[in-house]
Amino acid sequence: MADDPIALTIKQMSVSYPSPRGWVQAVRDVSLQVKRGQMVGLAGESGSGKSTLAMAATRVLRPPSARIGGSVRIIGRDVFSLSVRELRAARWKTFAFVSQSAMNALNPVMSVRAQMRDAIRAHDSMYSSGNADKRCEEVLRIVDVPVNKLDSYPHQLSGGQRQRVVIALALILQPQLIIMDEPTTALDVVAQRAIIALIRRLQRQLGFAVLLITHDLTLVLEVADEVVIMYGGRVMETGASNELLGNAMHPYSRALIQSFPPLHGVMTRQEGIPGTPPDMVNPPEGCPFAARCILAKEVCLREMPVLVTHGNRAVACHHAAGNRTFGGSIQ
Amino acid sequence: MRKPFMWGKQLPTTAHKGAPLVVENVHKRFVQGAKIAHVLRGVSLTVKSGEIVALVGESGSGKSTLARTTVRLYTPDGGKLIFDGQDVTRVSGRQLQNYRERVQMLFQDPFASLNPTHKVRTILLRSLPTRARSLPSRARDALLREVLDQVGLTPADNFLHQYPHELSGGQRQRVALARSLAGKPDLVVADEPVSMLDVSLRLGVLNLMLSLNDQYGIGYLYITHDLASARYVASRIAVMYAGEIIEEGPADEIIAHAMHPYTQILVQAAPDPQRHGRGDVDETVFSGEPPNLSQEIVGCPFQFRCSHVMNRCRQEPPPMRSAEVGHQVKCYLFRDEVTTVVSD
Repeated sequence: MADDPIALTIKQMSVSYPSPRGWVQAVRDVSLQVKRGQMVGLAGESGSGKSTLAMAATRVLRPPSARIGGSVRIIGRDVFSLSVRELRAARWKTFAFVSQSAMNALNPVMSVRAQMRDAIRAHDSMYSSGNADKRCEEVLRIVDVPVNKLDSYPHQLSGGQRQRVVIALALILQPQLIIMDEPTTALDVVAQRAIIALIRRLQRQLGFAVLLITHDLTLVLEVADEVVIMYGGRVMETGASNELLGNAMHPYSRALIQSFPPLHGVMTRQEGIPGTPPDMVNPPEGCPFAARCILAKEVCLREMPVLVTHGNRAVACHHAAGNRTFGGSIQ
Repeated sequence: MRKPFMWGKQLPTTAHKGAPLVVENVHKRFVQGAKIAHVLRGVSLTVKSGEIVALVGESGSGKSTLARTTVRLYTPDGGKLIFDGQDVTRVSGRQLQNYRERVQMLFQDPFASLNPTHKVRTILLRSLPTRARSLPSRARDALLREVLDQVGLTPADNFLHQYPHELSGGQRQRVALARSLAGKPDLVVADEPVSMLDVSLRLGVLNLMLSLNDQYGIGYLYITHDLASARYVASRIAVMYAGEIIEEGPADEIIAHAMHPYTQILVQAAPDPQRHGRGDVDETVFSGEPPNLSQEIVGCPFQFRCSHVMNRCRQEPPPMRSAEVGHQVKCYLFRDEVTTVVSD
């Protein structure tokens, strides 16, 4: 169990929220995997269901706030069958979740040290007070924040330092999987790069796996090992990031990549994606992207394509399935 | 060839010719209790008639303050703003109104910049120059419809009678753009106009701005922290750090041959999928914080993070020098190039 090579397996996950207009089907039949030590990027626009997926998979989001189906295994344990006590013991020690804008969610009236000790006390009773202090200093050093900031309050830290403290907090009980939801969105480019480089270095040193949720596809294409692209609550395409960039098979992936101007090379006029994402209260019967897709045919509107595996990648598109040459046919 | 405006024949005067904006050694300070934050520390920048200039820098560098100062939402504490040959640094009343009709602002957040209690029609009407308010209402509505057509909100009649909450983020930003265009401006100061929009909608708005520039010669001061989009829209890029412009030049030049150590870090930090697998970058390059602007900075503002720092950098700030044609940098590392250029 402990030497399961897979850190996270999400299988056929579906999540709906109640709303005055009906159930919002935020996540529909999503499966994905993160291997140990790997960084997988989960990319998508707002409303694609990526944050909902992460919150449901970690049981942060739970009934009756949402209707949740499917199964989640983290380091070999079925997350949905854990008792409340087991879940509490697994959080932080087995997996940690860094939620969106966590750096702004640090408690403003507690010192960094107090917040770290809180996490230790709540999730691991084995620590003595002296050891807990030692561990606090250790993780702060790992993330390159001066140890004298332990007794600082969040407002005394810069944005980049707060984000580092949040990462230190996630690391404090040495989890094997960290799910990070937009960990760098509130930061500017330079601070973002420093944080991402830090996460990569810590992964190499400590060996934990990361599921990195972001809207910035260029970022995960550059730094992640694999990328999962979501749209309209579904997985559109997955694959190794170096393969996806030049050879994306799904028209949505291609259009999304084309939505980012290149930093180098010849500059051409690029088009965004016309139209707007689907209404998830009444999601389309067929492919969620069909309404905005230049290749959409009648079958796309009628039938949701299944995610078909092609070697080590997978794509959910009527045009791509069984047609490998399709890759070069649009532009 | 620049076309006359497609909209606004109804406006009595249509003297659009495009005009340069010159920002000269502008200073801006904010008082925070006992502290005084010196946010703009002598900024000089020119946006020529019909030109698109991008202003990039990290948060806190003063980009937004400069944007708000150029449209005179703030009054500079020192230096000059010259538009179309006229000093507008301290104008007020009717003259300020005239200036603002010709230099418009487009804000970052289309969810905050549109009054939620007004229909699109009212929002746009309020932005019309005073000279248009005396038009018969039919002529005014025709003008609004033409502007909405220009920003791709068709059929315009539907949008005129909607409230902002009925529109998507991309549509709202188009309404905000229509509002800045209605009075036929010479220049639009756009403060991160697409950063709040979904990735797939950003290019739509940027392309719209580009085509308006192309057709009518509307100039932009495009403020962003995204270098790739700066290169996409602008012909020139100015890089701001700690309230100063530290490098300026042709957009491709700035990215391909960044000179200032800070610009180099900025280029390295920008996400670039082409770099995948080339090994991880040295993260120490990106650490460090910008200086505290409420304290006096002696020397170069970047000295505290710079790996090339010399004694001289700690003593006096480097002046802006031309390194190559149209490419200027404030850094002592480049004085040799300067002498060759000067001797030419």
